[in-house]
Amino acid sequence: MNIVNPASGAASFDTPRIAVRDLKKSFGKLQVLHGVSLTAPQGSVISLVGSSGSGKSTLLRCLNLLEIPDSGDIQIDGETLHFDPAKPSGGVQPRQIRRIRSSLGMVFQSFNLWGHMTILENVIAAPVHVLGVPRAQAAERAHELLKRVGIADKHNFFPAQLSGGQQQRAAIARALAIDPKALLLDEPTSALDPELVAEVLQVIKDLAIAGTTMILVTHEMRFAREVSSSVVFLHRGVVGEMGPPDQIFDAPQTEACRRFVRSEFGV
Amino acid sequence: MSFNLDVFWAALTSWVFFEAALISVALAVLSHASAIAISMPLALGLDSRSKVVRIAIRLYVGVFRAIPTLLWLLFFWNALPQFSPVFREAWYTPFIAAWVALTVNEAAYQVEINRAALSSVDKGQTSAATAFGFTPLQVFRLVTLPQAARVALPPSVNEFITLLKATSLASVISLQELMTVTNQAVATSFQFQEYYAVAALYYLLIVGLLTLLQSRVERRFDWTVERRARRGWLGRFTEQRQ
Repeated sequence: MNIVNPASGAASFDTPRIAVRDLKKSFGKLQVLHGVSLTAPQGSVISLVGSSGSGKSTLLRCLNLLEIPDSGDIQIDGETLHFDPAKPSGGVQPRQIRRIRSSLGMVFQSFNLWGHMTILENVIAAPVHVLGVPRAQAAERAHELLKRVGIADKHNFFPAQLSGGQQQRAAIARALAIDPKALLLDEPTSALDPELVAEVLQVIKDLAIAGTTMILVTHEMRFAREVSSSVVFLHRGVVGEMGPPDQIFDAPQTEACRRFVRSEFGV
Repeated sequence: MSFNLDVFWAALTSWVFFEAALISVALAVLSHASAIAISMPLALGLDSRSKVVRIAIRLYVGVFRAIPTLLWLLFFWNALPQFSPVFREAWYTPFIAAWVALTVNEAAYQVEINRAALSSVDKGQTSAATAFGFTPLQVFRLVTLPQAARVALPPSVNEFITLLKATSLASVISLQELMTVTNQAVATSFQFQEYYAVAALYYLLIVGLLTLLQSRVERRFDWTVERRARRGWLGRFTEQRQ
């Protein structure tokens, strides 16, 4: 499962894959995001960490517009969406929303593979129905991706027949099948039995090495430290601190981050 | 007691009884199909944001479920023509009246089944489809509908069996269905056993065939068996779906 992409180290950092400026989001009276800004250069792996309720998952869902932000800007590979709080859906057209969604691969905590489709059908569904890729071509690519995540022999099975780890790897293959600008992973190992976590983390690590841009919400601090190019500590809906993993985990600058790191590592 | 096998066999193989059974099946199939077609938007409407829509649907379900099917049949055949001369014309046959009566009645039951089935679909399933850029219609057609159909199938088949037997009520409006023909045969011959046995056998046969069909379809919906192992004639329909 070793994936080597020689270009990964030399990627252009000029146009970030994903940039977020002053993003705000409320649910009713509860404001979850109070103006978040961050940048994910091409080939970077950004880990979003923070205690529950800090807005990590909401931020991720805002990035692929499962939640429509109230205000702010999201820039995906040079295309900027500006959310105008005065207009419904922030003034962004459904067509544009769908285009952004289909350019980002989402991986969910509870996999959310479509239960009535085989693994192969799951992987080709978005390419065929959203991107209009011919079925045969999509299937060929799907087999490649399933091989890449180590479940080539499971293509004819239904999700319910696989272990959690296998399902999550299939979900990663499904997300990769749309050739995404970036992968968004929402606590990809939180629903897994401990012994199945490693196989999924290995796949994510391989993708990181291959230069896949990823934004990852995680509670696996040791893993975040290992794969991230930078770690974003979210605190009460704003970026509390961000920097390379060494800084966040060894020398946090803020009191809130220090306390979080201490509680996570149990020291 | 003497069971006349000849009378029984003659009736069983007669065109009159066969045609009557066909009418019963046709009425049940048509009524259920149109009831499902009507109940689908109603089921979706029950989760509508508009309070007026929700109350209107609740009202429909309440009224059409509370009143006996027999009364609906009598109403649509006897009372409706008094409202408008349109319903006194030749096109308004007992079959049409029965079809309408059974449809509006059945739709009220089917609404609840559909709603339960639709709401049984996990939110993660639809949000995954949305996340990949499916349009709302695609989400419904490719994810919600097939998953809801599996949940709705067993209670819907139950409904269909009830409905099939309810078609016998249409004998009160002189529709030439199975029970009407049976009663007519009995009235002239007094050979109760023979003709009742024929009718019973027909109903058994129809429901038996249906049960067989149901198990075939349910096997198709079994998403825990590797696809390769299953290749039935139904495969052609379901395979195209995804």
